[in-house]
Amino acid sequence: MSSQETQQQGVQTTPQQQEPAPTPAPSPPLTTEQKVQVGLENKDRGNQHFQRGDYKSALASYHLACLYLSGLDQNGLSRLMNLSGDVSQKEGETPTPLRQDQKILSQVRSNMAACYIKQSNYEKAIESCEKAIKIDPSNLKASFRKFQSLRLKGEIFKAKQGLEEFLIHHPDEQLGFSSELKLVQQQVRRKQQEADTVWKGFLSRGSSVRDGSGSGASE
Amino acid sequence: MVTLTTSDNEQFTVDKDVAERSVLIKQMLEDIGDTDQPIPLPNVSSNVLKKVLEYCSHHRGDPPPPADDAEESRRRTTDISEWDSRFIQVDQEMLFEIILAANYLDIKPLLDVGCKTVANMIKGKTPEEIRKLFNIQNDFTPEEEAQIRKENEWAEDR
Repeated sequence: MSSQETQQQGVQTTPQQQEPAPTPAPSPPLTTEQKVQVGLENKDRGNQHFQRGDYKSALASYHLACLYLSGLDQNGLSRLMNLSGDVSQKEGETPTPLRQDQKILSQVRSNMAACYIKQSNYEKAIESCEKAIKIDPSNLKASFRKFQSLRLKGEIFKAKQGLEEFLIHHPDEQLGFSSELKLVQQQVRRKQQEADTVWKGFLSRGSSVRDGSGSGASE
Repeated sequence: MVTLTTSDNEQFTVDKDVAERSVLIKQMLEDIGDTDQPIPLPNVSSNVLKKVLEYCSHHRGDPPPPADDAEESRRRTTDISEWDSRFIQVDQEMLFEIILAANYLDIKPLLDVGCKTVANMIKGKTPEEIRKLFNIQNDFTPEEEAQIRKENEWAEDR
């Protein structure tokens, strides 16, 4: 049957395609396993680019990995429509274990965040981390990179608060996160000291603030 | 121009702004720059992509979708624009394929249109009618069903 099909396809000449592609036989759609495999290959390629410091190529490979690893959920539709979703997962029940493709996809998103951090694109890094955490909440590296990005972006209070809350829920991670926590705590302290000096003598200055309409009008 | 390759190996070449209705593709192009390499979409078949691209071309000039905080109000209504409702008049199989593709490609407005359409199909129907509509097997025992009916009695219109 298949030979007949390929023959037919060979005879039909579509006007837009002047030259046949290098792979003439129309390959059947990939199976889920094959998609995961291709995704994994692209992830590895991305890691190699990353190690060489080629972040743009790394991102290209990671994006390809995402194209293959996303949307593999067989029950995607019912989850999307919330037809079965939240009802089945009651309190105390352990969530369904992650599939391999979800684990890998979460790692890829987290690695993309690492690229964005190297490119000083912290906004995108945070977004990417959040995607990674949403897929796999146990992806600690993604959480780490999110707090790091927040700090680097200058949102040190958010970073500190997030990090401290995170460590309450993951007390075992104290060690790995301690240097990041110290850094952000330092920065917050410095910021507060700066603020203190700014406000020092504020009340005695008086003249710059007129009858309560003060804030925001100065710039 | 951007070339997209479907799961069944068909290629579609479209204007960049059409392809970039998909946030997935937009972010990729932002990071890697313009490329003449085809972008593989292994989870979308050609007949579905054709339909999705029809939507993207019609909405190519739309302003970017509102940020997250506006999402609530966007979802609360089941209104669908005239063009969109005509566009989404497809058989159920295609409707679900479009929803899955919109989710995969991250085209939020299209995902909304799809989900709202399904919501409108469900609205006002009895559980039996909904089961029939979506071919859902009733996996409740008669006792369970009676129990649920009792628990939800207050919500029934009389």
